[in-house]
Amino acid sequence: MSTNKLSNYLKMYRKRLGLTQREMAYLLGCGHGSKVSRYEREKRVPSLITLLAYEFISRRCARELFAGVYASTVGEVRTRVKRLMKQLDAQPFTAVVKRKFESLTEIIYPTSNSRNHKHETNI
Amino acid sequence: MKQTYEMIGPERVLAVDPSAKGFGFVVLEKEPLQLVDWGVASCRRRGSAPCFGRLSSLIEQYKPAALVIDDPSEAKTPRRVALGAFLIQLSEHLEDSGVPTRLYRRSEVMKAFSSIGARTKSDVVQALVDRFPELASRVPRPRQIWEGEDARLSIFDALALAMLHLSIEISTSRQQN
Repeated sequence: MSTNKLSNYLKMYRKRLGLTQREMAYLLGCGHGSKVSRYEREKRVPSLITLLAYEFISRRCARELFAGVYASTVGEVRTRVKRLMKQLDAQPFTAVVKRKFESLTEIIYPTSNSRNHKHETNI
Repeated sequence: MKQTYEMIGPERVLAVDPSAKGFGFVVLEKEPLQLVDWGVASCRRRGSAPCFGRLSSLIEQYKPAALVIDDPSEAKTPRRVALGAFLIQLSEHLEDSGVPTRLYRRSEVMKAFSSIGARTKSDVVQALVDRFPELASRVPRPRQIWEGEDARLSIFDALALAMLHLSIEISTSRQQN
């Protein structure tokens, strides 16, 4: 996952639509163009409702709109998944633990075969 | 301007082209090839501070891997020569901060675009609009003989510089591989 993506691409998608910040603010229902400016400059994080409005207006999913944030979040989640797998590795290998291993392996390696998960914990 | 650029990636470039009123700029990403930002920065106020501030804020915001500038050695008008010289001076300052600068001559750009059949400036603009339709609204109407060049054309000049830079980078990396 590339970490050199911009934190967000809100400005790019707005400019592609040919909209001003004031017009975008009107469409988002957030009142003033300065709020859109703060979203674009990463000074403010949009609410869930605003994010969904952004998705609908730009026809892009949140991970594309916030590519950099998504990449860093994915990196952090991966780290936590690996830590959790190490913790599970110390527990008795029951059916429940096996299922957890499968799920966690699937999170990190979505296409990989997770049957031999017990031996793949030294990541 | 004491900054570190550890997060700089290889794929985003900032291209700047001086115009009569300031400079046109584009921010271009290589993978995928997309136009991230574009516009004309006005430097009408006296002194170099407005130009410097705008360019610095662009670099701060986008953290480009390279700053691509039109080589002013072929510039004809005194203002363009002065602006180009200022940009080079600025780029030297930025190079100390870790942003490498690349200079390309106008003739190099035209030579690169002539390979795809774009021989005049309007052909180049059309080729760029075909690739980046979001710029279609920024194409100025054809100017009359007594009119000066529209400042918006500097956006296309900057984009042509950025495209040339990326194509050279791609061909260089292919040769190395």
